[in-house]
Amino acid sequence: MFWKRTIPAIIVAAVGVIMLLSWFIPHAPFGNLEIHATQWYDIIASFAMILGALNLLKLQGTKVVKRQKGWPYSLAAVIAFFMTLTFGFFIKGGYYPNLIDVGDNPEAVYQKIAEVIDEDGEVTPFDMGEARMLYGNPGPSGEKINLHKAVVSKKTAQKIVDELEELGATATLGELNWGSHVQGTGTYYRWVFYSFFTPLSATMFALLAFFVASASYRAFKIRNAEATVLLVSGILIMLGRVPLGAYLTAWTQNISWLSWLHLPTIQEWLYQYPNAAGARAIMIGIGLGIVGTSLRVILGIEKSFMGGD
Amino acid sequence: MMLKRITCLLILLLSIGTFAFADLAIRAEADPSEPEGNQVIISILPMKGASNYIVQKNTGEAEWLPVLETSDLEFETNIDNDVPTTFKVIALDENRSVLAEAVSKEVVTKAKWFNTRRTNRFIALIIICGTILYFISRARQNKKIYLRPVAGLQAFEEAVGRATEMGRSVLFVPGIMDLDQVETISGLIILGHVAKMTARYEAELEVPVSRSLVMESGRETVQASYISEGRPDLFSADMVHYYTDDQFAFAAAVDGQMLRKKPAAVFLQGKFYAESLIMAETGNSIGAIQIAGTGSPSQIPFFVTACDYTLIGEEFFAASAYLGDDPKLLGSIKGQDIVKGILMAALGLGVIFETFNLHFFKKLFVGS
Amino acid sequence: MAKTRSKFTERFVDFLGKLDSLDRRIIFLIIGLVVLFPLLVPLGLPIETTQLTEDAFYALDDLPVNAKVLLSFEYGPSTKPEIHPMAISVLRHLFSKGNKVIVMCLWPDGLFMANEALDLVARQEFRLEYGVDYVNLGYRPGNEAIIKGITKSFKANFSIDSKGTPITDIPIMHDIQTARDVDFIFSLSAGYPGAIEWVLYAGDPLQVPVSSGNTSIQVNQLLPYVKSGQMKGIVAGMPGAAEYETMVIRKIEENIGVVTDEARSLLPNFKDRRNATKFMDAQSIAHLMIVLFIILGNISYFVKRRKQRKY
Repeated sequence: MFWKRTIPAIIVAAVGVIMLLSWFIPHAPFGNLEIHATQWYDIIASFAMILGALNLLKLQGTKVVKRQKGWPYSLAAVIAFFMTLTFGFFIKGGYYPNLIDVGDNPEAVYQKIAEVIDEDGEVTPFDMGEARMLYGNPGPSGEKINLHKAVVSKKTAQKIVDELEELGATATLGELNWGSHVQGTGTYYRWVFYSFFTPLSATMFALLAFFVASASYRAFKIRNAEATVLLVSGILIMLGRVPLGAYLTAWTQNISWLSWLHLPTIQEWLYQYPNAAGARAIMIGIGLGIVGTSLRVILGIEKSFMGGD
Repeated sequence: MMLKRITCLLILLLSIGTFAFADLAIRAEADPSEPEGNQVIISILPMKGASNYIVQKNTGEAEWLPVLETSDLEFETNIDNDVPTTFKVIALDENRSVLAEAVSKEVVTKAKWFNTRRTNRFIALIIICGTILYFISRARQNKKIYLRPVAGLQAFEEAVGRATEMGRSVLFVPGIMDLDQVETISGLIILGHVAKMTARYEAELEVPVSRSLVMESGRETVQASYISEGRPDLFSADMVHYYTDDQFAFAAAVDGQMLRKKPAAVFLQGKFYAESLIMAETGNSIGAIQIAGTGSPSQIPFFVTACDYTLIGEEFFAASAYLGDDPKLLGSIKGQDIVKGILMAALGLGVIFETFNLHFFKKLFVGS
Repeated sequence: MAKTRSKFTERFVDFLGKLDSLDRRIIFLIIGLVVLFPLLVPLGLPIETTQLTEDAFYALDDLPVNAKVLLSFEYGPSTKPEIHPMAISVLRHLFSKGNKVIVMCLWPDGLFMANEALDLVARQEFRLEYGVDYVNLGYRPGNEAIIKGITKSFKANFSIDSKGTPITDIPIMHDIQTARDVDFIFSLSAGYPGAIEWVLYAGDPLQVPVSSGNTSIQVNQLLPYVKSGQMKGIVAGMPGAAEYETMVIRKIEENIGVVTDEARSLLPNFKDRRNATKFMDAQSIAHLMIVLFIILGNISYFVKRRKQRKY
């Protein structure tokens, strides 16, 4: 009990008080304590991710092995997990030709480079200009100049190197470093990010549009006075926020005593005054709630989140 | 008279000469108004013909480190506290030829023991914490404290009871952020209370989480609750399970769980962002009773629209006091309310003073 | 004499009453179709600018030539449709008046977004020199700790940029020691950490002007900071992005303030690639549809209530 309850409570109290005071005490060792503590937390949370990953694999793996209901989804989760892990740590791709010297036939070499860096299947004067700009001046000591665009497979990159050499240039095969491969072009990781993660994330966020419609349809009913105010202000803001609202009420701008009826004007007023006031009030309440909860945690009054009473 | 004129002329010539042939100089002084130290005010005595100045610093190493190149004669720069630092200025002409160099005296900056710019907030902290602590101590003396009923909190037991009757599970999501957020801790505290109810009624509890540390903390909380209800046999570590850190991937996973398992009661208690409506609408579509609570002001409208009950703002943080009924917790809520009253009075006074163009009151609340 | 209704009216009233429990999938289908239509047949609705976006635009426009702006990318693929167009517009605005841009990321996904935006605007459009006109310092974990860190020292938190070059070797960073040395901070944020953290830990303490581009839903939380002067306007959601695009094009067309020759030559490109403006037609129709649904829902609610009172 002492190690599981009392010691954590003492640590929470001590660290809480020190962190609170450190905001007011710039002198060492308090001054940068906040930054260090946040960084320590990030390191701990990063290592703790392993626990979560193992838990995920255990639960989803069990479902697959025991063929429980919905096991294909679990299989997809496990495959995606290992695929991303592999591309992050073991197989990266990201090969590129290093051009050291353009040789005696520079235009042909630039044409070849332009074909590599081109993205839409057609070599344009822009691509040729890019090629000349990037590779027109190899460094004086022959330092390597990299293509900004790497390719995934070693075979393809080697083929480009061979083709450049046939045109009289001097080139070697390069490989993106571990770490920069995460954001570099022509890597498997980047392919996973743009082919899977990006469309899936965008799709989930796009669901909000549909859910807002169904939630509004269901919830915005004139049940009482407050609901009516909510309904009317909601409609005014929804229409005022988009060009359609401005277009429909553009005529009011020509009549001075009616100009306040311009939907964007009403929308901005609602946003900046009643809405901002309400938001401020809620934020003050939340701020006080956070102070109260934090104080209870620091003083040890609230221990249930640590498994205490 | 003649002598006077000659003397004046000589002095004038001397001054011009001094100015024309003045030595380049640099002065570095620690900024006394900066409580955190670090800051040094650099002043350069200009040199005729110089268009730009390169400033470098040295902390006792062999190498001079670049600071900046400027045409300004006075500027501020940062150095490390308690490290004696010397500055050098190199004057350049229009052709970037070096005209002269000068070195300053050593300067040392020191941080103060109290940041006087934050005095107003320190006083506010004392008032707020003092008020809350006072009412906690008063509550300990068995003073009865009244809290207004909150529909959402009264519905907790009803929701768990409904799940038990229908033979379906209770789903609890403690937000999507990590333990460094107070809302997550509040969510876990509420989870402890809900876990006691599910243990008592023998309802199945599922707690999907988005962070590994929250998973571990959630397990401790749920286990303690089940033990306190005398039902450790019903507890399983897999009740609290991790999906993913990513916001929308987690929302997709929770939605999938809702659609497949169809829980009868859904609790969304913690810090949420844009995924809140996705989860709440899905819960609504399966006919579950939903009780939400969050400290994110922008998500409250979505929860109000899609859920049966919503704990708004402070109600969410007060939930542990309501559910636990501990006098100390109730006392802290009372203290919070008194502080809110003080703030409202301050706001009212501020509005009055500003209306009459008296700005002194507003300045009390300005920070840096 | 009792009022009689035709069968048709009776059926219509019954139908209205049943609409109260309309299957949400029908709502989803209708929303999907009405959003798709303007994408295929653009309506070309004119964009009218609002005060919040104008404040943000002019705050950046008033910066002198060669001013350095810190642009922080805190969004990912999910909010890319809303925030990426404003990132591109802000970069075009800054480069069209000769400002320098220092990019950093507090979200890991932000690094991909930053690379995309810089690749399009800085490299392909303006053909600027990396390290002299702009730099991408990359992503650092630590949330607000990084913001607090750069208020004391950039070098301590970003010793190398995203390409691995030491910061001391990057010309644009030569006279930037702390966040105090930048002329403006612009945060492109979709959540935490984001604009609020920039205001609390950098903008306010160092008195460096801050503005931000956010999702529409965050505007609520940020308005108090705008009203108190701690933020210079907000570019709010896709409508804000469309307004900003319009203002950038208007500035170049009408030659308002400082406009470089490159910007003038790129104007046709900018007009063609107004992503946010293109999508505003769809958003307009979607909003209108939701309003119509609300009205329909209320009609149905009243019809149903009236029927229940009858019985």
